[in-house]
Amino acid sequence: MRSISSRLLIGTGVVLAIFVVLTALAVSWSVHLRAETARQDRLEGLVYGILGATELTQDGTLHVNDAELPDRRLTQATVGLYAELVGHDGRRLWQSRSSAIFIPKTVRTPIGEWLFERVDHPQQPSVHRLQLQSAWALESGDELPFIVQVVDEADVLAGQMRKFDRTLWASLLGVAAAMLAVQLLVLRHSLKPLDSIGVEVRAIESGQRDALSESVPKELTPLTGSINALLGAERNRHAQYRHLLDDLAHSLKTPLSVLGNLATQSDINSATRNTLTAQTQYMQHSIERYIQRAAIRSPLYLAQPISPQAALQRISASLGKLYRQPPVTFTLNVPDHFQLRIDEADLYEILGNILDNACKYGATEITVTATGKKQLIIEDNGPGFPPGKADGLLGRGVRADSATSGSGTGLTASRELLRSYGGELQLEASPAHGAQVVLFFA
Amino acid sequence: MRALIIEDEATLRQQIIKALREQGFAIDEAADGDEGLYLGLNMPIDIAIIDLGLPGLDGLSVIRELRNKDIDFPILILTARDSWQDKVDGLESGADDYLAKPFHIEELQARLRALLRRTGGWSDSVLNFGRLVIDTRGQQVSLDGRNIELTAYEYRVLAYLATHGGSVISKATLLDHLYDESVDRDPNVLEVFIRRLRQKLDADKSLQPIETLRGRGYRLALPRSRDNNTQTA
Repeated sequence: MRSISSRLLIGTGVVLAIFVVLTALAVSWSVHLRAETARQDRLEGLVYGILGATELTQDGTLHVNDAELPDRRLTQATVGLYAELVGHDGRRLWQSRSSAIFIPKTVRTPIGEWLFERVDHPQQPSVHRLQLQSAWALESGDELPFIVQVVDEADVLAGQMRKFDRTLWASLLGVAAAMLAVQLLVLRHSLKPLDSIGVEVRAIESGQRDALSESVPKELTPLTGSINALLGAERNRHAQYRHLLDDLAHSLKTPLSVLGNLATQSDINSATRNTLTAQTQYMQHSIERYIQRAAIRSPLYLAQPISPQAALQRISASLGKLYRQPPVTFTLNVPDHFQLRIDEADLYEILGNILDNACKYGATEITVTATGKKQLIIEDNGPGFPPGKADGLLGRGVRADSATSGSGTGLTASRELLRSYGGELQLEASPAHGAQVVLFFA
Repeated sequence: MRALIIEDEATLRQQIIKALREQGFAIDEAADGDEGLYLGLNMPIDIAIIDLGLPGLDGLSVIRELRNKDIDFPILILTARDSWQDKVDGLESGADDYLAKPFHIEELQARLRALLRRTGGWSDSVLNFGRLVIDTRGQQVSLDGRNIELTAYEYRVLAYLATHGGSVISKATLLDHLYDESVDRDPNVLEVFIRRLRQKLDADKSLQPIETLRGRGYRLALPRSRDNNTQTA
C-alpha cells in the first residue's frame, strides 16, 4: 500500500500542476487579448490619423499629406506597416511609401463599418489588417466612398508574446517546484509523529519499550491510547492463559500420581502394570511438553524489565536449604540496576534449573556475575562438564551423570526458554575447574 | 516415626499412608489445612508431608503457622506446582524439601528418609555406630558385619533412638512416635521391645547399646562413627 507521504505528495503535485497550467493559460490568454486590443486601438489611431491627413484636391481626388501622417514609418521605404486608400471601384487611391509582405484585398462593407482581422497567407507570415469603409461628403451633396486599410505585420508582437509566454511558464514552474519543496518539508514535519510511533512500535517488538509514548499530537492520541490498551489487555490475556494452562496441568498431576502409584502395587498383573506405567508416563510427558511449548511462545514485548538479583537471592537461599551436606556457598555479583526483560516465572525457571544442576553435581561454591549489559555468568567448582560433551548435554533428557537424580531436562529447558526470548545459553569450562554456564539475554 | 500427611485427594493419601505404614511409620492424616494444622500443633509428629493446594487453609499457610509456633519437624511439600517460583515460595515458608507430582512412592520414601537423616544430623542413609550399623533404606541392622533379624516394631524403636542419637527419649514420646492413635499403647510392651533388642544386639553384654535413665526414658549410648564409606540415597 502506498505511503501517506507519497499519497499527499502525489495529490499536491497534481493540484499544483493543474493550478500552474490553468494560471498560465489564463494569464497568457488575457495578455494576448490585451495585446490584440492594443494593436487594434493603435491601428484605429493610425486610420484616424490617415483620415486627418487626407484632403480633397481641386480635381476631386483624395490626397494624403505625407507630412501629416501619424506614423513616420509610413513615409519611409520600410516593410512592416502599410496603409492605403482604395476607391469604390477597387482602384488604389493612395498608398504609403512603406510596404508589407503581402497586402490583403479590401472588402466592401457598409459605410462607417470597421473590419479588423488577422489574414493568413499560405507562404507568408500572417498580417493584421484594419479597414474602415468611409465616404467623403462632396459639396455637391454626393459622397465619395473609399476604404482606408492599414496592414500590420504580426511578427514583432508575436515574438514579444512568445517571449512573454516562455517567461510566464518558466516562472510558474519555478514557483511550483518551490511550493512542492516546501510542501515536502511541511509533510515531513507533520508526519514525524507517525514515524516516531513506527520507531516505538519496533522498540516494543524488540522488547526495549513497554508502551507507546503519550506525548503525541492530539489526532494520534486515540490510536496510541488504543495500542497501549491493547498491549495491556494482551499482557493480561497472556498471563491468564498461562495460569489456566498451569491449572490444567496441575489438576492432572494428582490423579497421575495416583495412577502411577497404582502401577507399583503388587496385586495387579504385569500387563496391567505395564499399560498403566506407559500411559501415565505418556500423559506426564505430554503435559510437560505442551506447557513448555506454550510458555516458549510468549513474545518478548509482553515482558517487563526486572532485576534478577532478588530471584538469585531467593533461589540460592532455597538451594542452601536443600543442599546442606556439604553446604553450598553462593556469591552474587549482580548489581540492582542490572535489569533483564523477561517474564519473572521464566527467569526463575532458567536460573533455578542451572543453579540446582550445579548443586546436584556437587558444587560447593557457585558464583553468579553480571557482565556487560545482558549477560550472566554462572561458575561453579563442581566436576564440570565431561570434555567435548558440553554441547551434547543440551539434548533433551540427557544427563551428565545418570547416578544423579533429576529428569535431565533442566539445562535444555533453560536454553529453550532463553532462546524463546532471543537469548542463548553456552556451556563452558570454568576457570575454577568446574562448570561455567553463560547466559546471553536479548 | 510419626508422620503427618495432609493431602485432600483421598486415593493418593491412602496410597501414601499404605506405603509409609509398610516402612514402619505411625500416621496422622488430614484432608484439609485446618485439621492438618491442628494435628501438626498437637501431635508428636516427626515429619510431615503437606500438599499445597488444600481446601480451607492452604498448604503454605499451614507451614507458616507451624513454623510461627516453633514447630520444627521436617516438612516435605507435595505439590503439582513444580515451577521454581513455587518451589522457592514453599521453601521460604519453612518447608525443608519439595516433591513435585506426579511422583513414585519410592521417591517419596527416599526423600523422607533423607530428610529425617538430615534433620538428625546424618547425611547418609546408613547410620554408623562403629560395631552397630543401621541401613535406614533397607531397614537392615548389622552388628560386627553380621545381619540381625528384627521385627518391625523392634526396628522402629532402634531407628528412632538412633536418629535421635545422644538424646534421652521418654517412654511416652517413644510410644507416640511408634503407634497410631488407634493402637492400644501399653508402656509394658515397649519395655518388652527394649529387652528383646538388648538381647539381639548385645547377647554377651559387651556393647550396652541402649541406656535406661530411670524415670526419664531411653538413650542410644553408642557414639556416632563418621568414617563410613557407604553410598548416598
